[in-house]
Amino acid sequence: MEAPSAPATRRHPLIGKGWVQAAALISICGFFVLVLMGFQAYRQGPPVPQRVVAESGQLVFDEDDVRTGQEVFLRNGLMQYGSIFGHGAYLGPDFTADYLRRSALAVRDSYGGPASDTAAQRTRRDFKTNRYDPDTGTLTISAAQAAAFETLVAHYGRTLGDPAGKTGLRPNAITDPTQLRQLTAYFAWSAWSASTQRPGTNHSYTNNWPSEPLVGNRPTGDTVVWSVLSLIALLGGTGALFAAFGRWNWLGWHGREQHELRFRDPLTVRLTGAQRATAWFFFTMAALFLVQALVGAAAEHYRADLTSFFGIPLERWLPYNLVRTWHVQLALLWVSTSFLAAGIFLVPMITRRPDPKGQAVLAYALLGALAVVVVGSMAGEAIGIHGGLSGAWHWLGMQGFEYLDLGKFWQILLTTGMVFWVAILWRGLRGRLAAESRANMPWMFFFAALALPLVYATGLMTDQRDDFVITDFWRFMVVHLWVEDFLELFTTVMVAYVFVLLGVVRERIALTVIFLDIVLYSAGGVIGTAHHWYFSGAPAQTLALGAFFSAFEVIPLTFLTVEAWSFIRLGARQEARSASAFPHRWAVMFLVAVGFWNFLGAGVFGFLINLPIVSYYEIGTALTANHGHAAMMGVYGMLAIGFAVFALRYLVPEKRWNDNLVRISFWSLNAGLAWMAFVTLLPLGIIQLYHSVDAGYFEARSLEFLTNDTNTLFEWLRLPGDVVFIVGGVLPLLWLAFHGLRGGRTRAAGSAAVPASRDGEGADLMLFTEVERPEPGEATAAGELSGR
Amino acid sequence: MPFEVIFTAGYSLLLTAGAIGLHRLGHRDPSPWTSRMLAGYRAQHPGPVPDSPPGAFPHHDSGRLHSAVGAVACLAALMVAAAQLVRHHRPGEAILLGACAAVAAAALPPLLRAARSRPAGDRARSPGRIARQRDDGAIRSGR
Repeated sequence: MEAPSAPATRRHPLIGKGWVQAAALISICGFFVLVLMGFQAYRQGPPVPQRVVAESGQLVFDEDDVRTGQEVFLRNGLMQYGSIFGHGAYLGPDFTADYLRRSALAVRDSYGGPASDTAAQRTRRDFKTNRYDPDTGTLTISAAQAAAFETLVAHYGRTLGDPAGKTGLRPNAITDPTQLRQLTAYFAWSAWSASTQRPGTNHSYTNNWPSEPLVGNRPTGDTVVWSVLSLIALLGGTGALFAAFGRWNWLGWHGREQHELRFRDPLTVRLTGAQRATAWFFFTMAALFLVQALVGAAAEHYRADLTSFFGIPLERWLPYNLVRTWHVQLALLWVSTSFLAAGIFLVPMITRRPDPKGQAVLAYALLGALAVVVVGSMAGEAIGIHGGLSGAWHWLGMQGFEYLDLGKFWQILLTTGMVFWVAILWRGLRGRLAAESRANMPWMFFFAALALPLVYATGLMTDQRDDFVITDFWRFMVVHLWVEDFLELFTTVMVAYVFVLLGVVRERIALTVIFLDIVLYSAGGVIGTAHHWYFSGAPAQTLALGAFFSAFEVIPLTFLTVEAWSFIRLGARQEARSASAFPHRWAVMFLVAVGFWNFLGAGVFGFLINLPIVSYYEIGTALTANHGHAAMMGVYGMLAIGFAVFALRYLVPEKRWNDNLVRISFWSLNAGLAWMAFVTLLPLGIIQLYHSVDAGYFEARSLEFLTNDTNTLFEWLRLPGDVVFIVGGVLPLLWLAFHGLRGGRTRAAGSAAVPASRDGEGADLMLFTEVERPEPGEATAAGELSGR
Repeated sequence: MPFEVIFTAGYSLLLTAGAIGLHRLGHRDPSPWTSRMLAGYRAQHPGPVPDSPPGAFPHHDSGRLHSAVGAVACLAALMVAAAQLVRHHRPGEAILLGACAAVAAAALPPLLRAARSRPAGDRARSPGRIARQRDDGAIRSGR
């Protein structure tokens, strides 16, 4: 195919300069503050002492022990079992809080026990007084603390090296005495950071987290005050935004022009080779989704019955930390697979031209690379957690940071794959881009896609030997900024573009929504990333910024959800004029579900745990899982499936298309997810939060609490919902995607039905929608869309 | 009375109330010809109500989604109360949990019916119904 000739002039921007300038300015400000917080993380994180000595001068542990201990923690997948500084999984203990409590009890006992006031005061003084000398890099601890350390080395040896298993970890998970000592040194350092006073303040490096009366840890003034201000920001911001848009109608709904729509039968729409290749992507997506749900069910079983999987000793082969690692990794991977495919599928519809030569081959190559990453990283994680791969563990095995568990090699390969995907999009789009202003939809689509590998690449900055606060900064560049902001932006652009292509929303209005999204998320989402760093060792300013700005994240969720209804209803006005039926009923239904879960899962459940004072007691409990499931599956999962259903409508021949399958899948997924949240995660989270405030954070995270009768009952009650979710929700989707593979839509059949376009360019691809203005002589909206 | 029983009873009632609220929220008028949200749009672009809508646009089902999730919440409320009743059935506990389960059970059928009902747009509308909608639309949009 010949390269498209460059047009003489670009199409003028469809949106005012004010929007572009506002988006640029606010983005720059948002990222400036984010970089500043990163700078603070490097400068003001808790130091790792070169030497930790007892008052007698005896060396207890040194810097290398702490850093190697962190490696032992990561390579054994302990962040997918318990947590550190509150971050990680929820079955095992939080090792910071665990060490702090156990060592404080040992120290108090050595000073006279619980009955002695003097013992309590001496214990608090031991833990609160910062005796780190930055000049020599030496931290001096009391003899009692040094003795407690030795006791706890033995304790962790017993629990983490238990030959019987029954803890969710594989039997004899960690037995090497040196590694156990290093691991304990890491926990001891984290507990020191969480209790000793940050110089110049009256609180610890972690803003006094976790709550621990034995060492005098209680919420700081910042934690309380910024919680209140955060609430005010939410209420005031929401009210102001609705008032402003109600008054001035910036989105311009009322200016919608009336077009005539005619929906084409999907089978009359010709598909390109690359579009047909996406059938394999969507089948892979559905298969990965099934595996992700199954390992999630296995992880859930550990919470319901820790001792056995219906008589099978599952922990020997698939310990909890491995199934949870796969569960969270696959969540990102299957959703990403759908997004990659949707991008490829949409390009010819945007350009309305055939693929460049070799585009389909490149799409298949991308899928192959993705398969290598998925299989390689999962195998590496399994081998790594089982103690294999020795020196190459963080390259090929278990890098170990929650959500960035995959080995660095696979992480690099995945990033490269995304760059490759952007290149595929660029090849398809470049002719169209050359004719467009950089502020218009095609460029926004490309920029949003380009941002995905760029932001994901920041996760490569994590290093297994770096200070935790620094690795956590880079980790949340992926977990928050990539997932919650840039995937959200890409989502907005994709959904808006689909609506534009469907002819139900004008391009200018869709652009306004996209720029509004950029403005709101740059203000709230980018700086709001800091709400993950309240207690990980960042200074109090980070807590303040995170609390205040993350409250603004809820505002666009609320606002865009409400506005989305208008978005969709306007479509009905157009659809009703079409003589043919709307072919994407279920794809749009999944978008409706996205709106619903965006508000409930991301908005309500997210804000429920967002206030610093709530997070102080809640972090690492089932309420986090409640938000995680409802938001990740409810928003990105439903969206990924919506994209798949949209494309499969064209890929599956009419004789094999079954609306009932999609209907069953839709209702089962929503019902199963709702059941999961309402029957188990939400009530358990509330009970755990109550227990954390009432009895203590250590108690609320203990296995004794998690496996008590009440919790076990709520965990088992989840079973019917999970069955509905997997059997009714995932399997029909997999079957439908399989039909997409079987094809039956030959190239000839596809093109035979394609009528010539209005201007006679038979080579052009036809959209699934024809959009025309009723007045004769005016340019068609379709023409406007295609840039002609 | 154990905390577990009081918590379950309160949670069950709250879930039932939330389910009913969700159901009501989802059954605001979604019609682009009569809904309040698009009244301004209709005022600027008056158009005839189509005589024979070809099929429901998916937003008609948004109400069903709300009712369905509400029904799941209601069923969840019933389930947690009933499960606790098996574990805690002293007279006071049984009365409290039984009452909560009964409230959830009573709220469930209308939600299930609403979740199962076909969207309005799926049904062919009679001329009289269309005329009524047109009149309602004119009144609501102030025309």
